[in-house]
Amino acid sequence: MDPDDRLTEELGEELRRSMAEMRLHPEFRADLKGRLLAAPEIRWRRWLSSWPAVARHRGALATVVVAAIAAAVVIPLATSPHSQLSTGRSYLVIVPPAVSGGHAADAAPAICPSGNVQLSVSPAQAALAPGQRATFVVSETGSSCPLTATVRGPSAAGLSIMAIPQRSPEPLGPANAMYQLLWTGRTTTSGSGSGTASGAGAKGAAELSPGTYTVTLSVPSSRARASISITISS
Amino acid sequence: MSSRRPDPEAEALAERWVGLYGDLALRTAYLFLRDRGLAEDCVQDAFVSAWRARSSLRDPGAERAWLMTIVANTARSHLRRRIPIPTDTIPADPTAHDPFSELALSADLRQALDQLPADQRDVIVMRVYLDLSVEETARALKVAEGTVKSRLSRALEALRLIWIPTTD
Repeated sequence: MDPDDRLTEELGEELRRSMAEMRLHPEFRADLKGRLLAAPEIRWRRWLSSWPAVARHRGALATVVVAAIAAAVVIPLATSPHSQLSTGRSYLVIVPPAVSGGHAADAAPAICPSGNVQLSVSPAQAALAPGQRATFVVSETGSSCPLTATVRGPSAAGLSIMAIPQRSPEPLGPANAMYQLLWTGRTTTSGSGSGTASGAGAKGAAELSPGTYTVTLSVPSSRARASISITISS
Repeated sequence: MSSRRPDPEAEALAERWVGLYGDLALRTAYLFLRDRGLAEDCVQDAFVSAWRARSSLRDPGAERAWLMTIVANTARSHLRRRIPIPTDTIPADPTAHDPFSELALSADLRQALDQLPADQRDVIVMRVYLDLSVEETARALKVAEGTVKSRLSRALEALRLIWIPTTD
């Protein structure tokens, strides 16, 4: 027997033996079965696949559909005056220091330099007391922003987290803030490390000292949404 | 008002899928994700996706490979979606990371599997554990058949340096 075949066989047996005791819990099985029965079958798929012509030429049909979709997306992009080759889009989100007297963290809307896409931040402002938390959701509107465009805010880019005194004009006290970046959306790549947080002392989900941080979110395509969750802890 | 009774045929199919493939799916997902909880989530997502698309399965004889391919791809997609934890914030604790800790594997084999690049480990799961053919593996991983063969060969070469099978 070929040494590779032998090792393959032995490794397979070892893996199967080592996992023989790993089983789904009975409650999980019952729950899973219930979920399956509650999930409707995608009817158009059944309907489409029942056509003999579709069944026979599925590969060719899929190719035609993909080509049509690609043409619909690529041609407008390629003919756009702003089109650039890129693997993703970056934008900056700004949370400027709070204005005096408030417990505010602002998320400033940012625009694409080409003006074709807008990033809106919701809520635009949140008042935070120690222990409270605000989540800013950044979403794109518009289209045709060049993929390589770095979307900049209207002022110095940065995420500032500050402790706001109970009453101004008391001096600013020390601040600790937790922040967490969350990516949502079907095409985001949060797991592959395309999102980065940079700046002095910035660490994902770590405690931050007062200061200005730049948070750069990269998403591979439009229609992704990003959110920044900030908790002022003291 | 009467509640809808599920179709007996669908009920039997769900019973069969969960009974026949549930444990295998869990183990397969675990090999990718190395976390029991994530593996269970993955099984749930994969089975529901497969269930919704079950009419696209044309060859009943390929049911196992089809379903396990969906499980594998769901697990790989879960891995891609996972938010990375910055390593500089993790305290150095050598006992904290114990790859494949739920498996009754020798420490050297666990270590060897953990050290394999992800693409080679994927091929090990599909070809060696699930015993899928080269063609099925290539289709599942969306790579050429030659790539499957070369990745498997490299993975076995690496494993051979660390792991010596104990033959009875």
